Amino acid sequence: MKRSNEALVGVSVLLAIALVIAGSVWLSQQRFGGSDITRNVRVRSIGGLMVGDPVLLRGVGIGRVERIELSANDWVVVSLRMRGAARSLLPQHPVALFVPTTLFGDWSVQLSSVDALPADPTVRRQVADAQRATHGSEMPGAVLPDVGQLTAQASRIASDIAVISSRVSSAFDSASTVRLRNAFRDLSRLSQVLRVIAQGQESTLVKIGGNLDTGTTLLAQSAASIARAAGRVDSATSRGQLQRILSHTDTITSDLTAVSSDLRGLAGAAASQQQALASIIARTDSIVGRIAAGQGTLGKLTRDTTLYTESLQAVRALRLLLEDVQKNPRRYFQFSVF
Amino acid sequence: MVTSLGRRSIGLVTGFGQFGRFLGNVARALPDVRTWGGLTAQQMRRLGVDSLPIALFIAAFTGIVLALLASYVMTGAVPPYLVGTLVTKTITMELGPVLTGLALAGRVGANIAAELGTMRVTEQVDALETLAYNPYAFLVIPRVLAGLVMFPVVVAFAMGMGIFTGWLTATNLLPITNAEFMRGARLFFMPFDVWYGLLKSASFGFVITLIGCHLGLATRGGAEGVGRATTRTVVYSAEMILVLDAYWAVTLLRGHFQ
Repeated sequence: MKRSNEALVGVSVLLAIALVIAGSVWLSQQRFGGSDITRNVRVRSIGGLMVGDPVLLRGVGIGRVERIELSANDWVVVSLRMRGAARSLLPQHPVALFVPTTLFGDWSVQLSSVDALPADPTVRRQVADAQRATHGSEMPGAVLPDVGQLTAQASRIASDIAVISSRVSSAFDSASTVRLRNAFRDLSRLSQVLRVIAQGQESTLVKIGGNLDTGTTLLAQSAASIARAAGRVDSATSRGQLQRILSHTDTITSDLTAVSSDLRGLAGAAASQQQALASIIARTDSIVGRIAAGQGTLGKLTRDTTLYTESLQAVRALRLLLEDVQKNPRRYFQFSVF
Repeated sequence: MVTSLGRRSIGLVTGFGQFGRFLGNVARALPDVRTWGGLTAQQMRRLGVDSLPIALFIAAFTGIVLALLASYVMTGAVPPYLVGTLVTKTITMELGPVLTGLALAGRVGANIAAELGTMRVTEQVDALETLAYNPYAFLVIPRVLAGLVMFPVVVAFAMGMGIFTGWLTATNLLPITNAEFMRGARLFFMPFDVWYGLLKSASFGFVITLIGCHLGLATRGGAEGVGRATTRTVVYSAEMILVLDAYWAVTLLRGHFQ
């Protein structure tokens, strides 16, 4: 009895221990006997990441988060335990992104290359910051915004929209609405007037259309006339009339050339005459200058009244002499034949 | 009224004093390994192995109800794999230890109190003392040790059974696949959950057996006293289970980060 008690108790205890260990290992997905590798990730914050969360490479689970520890200078070091086979599969410069995978607080670690980072500047800044602080084989990490942050952002946007809508509603008060309604009414009235005008102008437009039609017809006739004229020109060309016209034109051109050469000679003579005239004018100018200066006979004549007076007296004397001659010719003339 | 209050106060203090003296006697009996060493296996079988059926029965139905309850609560946007999470977490951390503890408080605690109470009122304990046996080494330590060791064992089996029946229910009665249940069970599982449940159950076993032994040995007044001791053992044990449950939660869960 005592031995059977001990055996039963022993079996129960062993089974319980085995159950607990096996269950824990199975549920926590621990692996034994494999050459697992451990890599640390340096990151400022881990978001909602917890020990046991999966580590994914290109979406495939390759390990789990083993440990999370606070480090100096406001860093957090996260240890990732991965299957040994992942060693050769990791990118050359791996980066760990802590990503919320569901709306219910599930997070995962996604490994990727530093070249394949998302374009989010916040993530890139986190990675660059962590890269400067990594030691040895540590990977830089970054946290993507979780649902809470996104909803908070959405909440902020919604509040902004609410503010804008309240401002719009305050801007569009009852007076604005009345003005807007009047504006619409005026617009409607204006459109009616425009419609009436358009109806009134319709007949005019019809006439213009008819005129256009006539004009088009005339244009067509003109085109036909031009075509005929072109035909005539063509026929004239074919009979040698144009050649004659051209030969006449040549003659006229040669005559014109001769005329132009004559004109050119005439222009040369005119130029020499102009020079002679200029020298005459210059001489005259010097003569006049000398006269004006009182030089020479003429100058003296123009300046000295003595000559004038004497001349006048001489003329008077001559006139008296003539009168005397006429009266007494025998005094002055003796006519004899022998 | 004042007299009643005074009597109750004196009784409370007396009770604490008696329990303290009882603990002192147990501690003094610990070195008497030759006495309690050979008796412990028998108590382990009686308290532990023989309690397995009731513990497994309770755990099995707890797992079923939990799976159905989880699928009933988690509708709409809640992913179905959380049924696995809820079943696993709840069974390992709370319902496995507590429900098993409550069940064993009735079965084991009452059994110990009735047995020792009867021995006390029939003066068998006095006879042991007359025969130079330390009743604490002979009666108390084997039971307390058995409770301390075997309660986690029983609870471990109960955990396994609860998770198994939860999985069975989820995959057969609910629109949840095996992969979904496993994903949920594994997603948030931490080995600490199991150790937390087992530690709680060990403390439950220790307290239940200690209360049963103390009240059993303190029995007075014949069959009526035995019945009263049995009832008080069950009540006190149940209360202590809940108190300890809260204590461990405050102690271990509040300070448990990551």
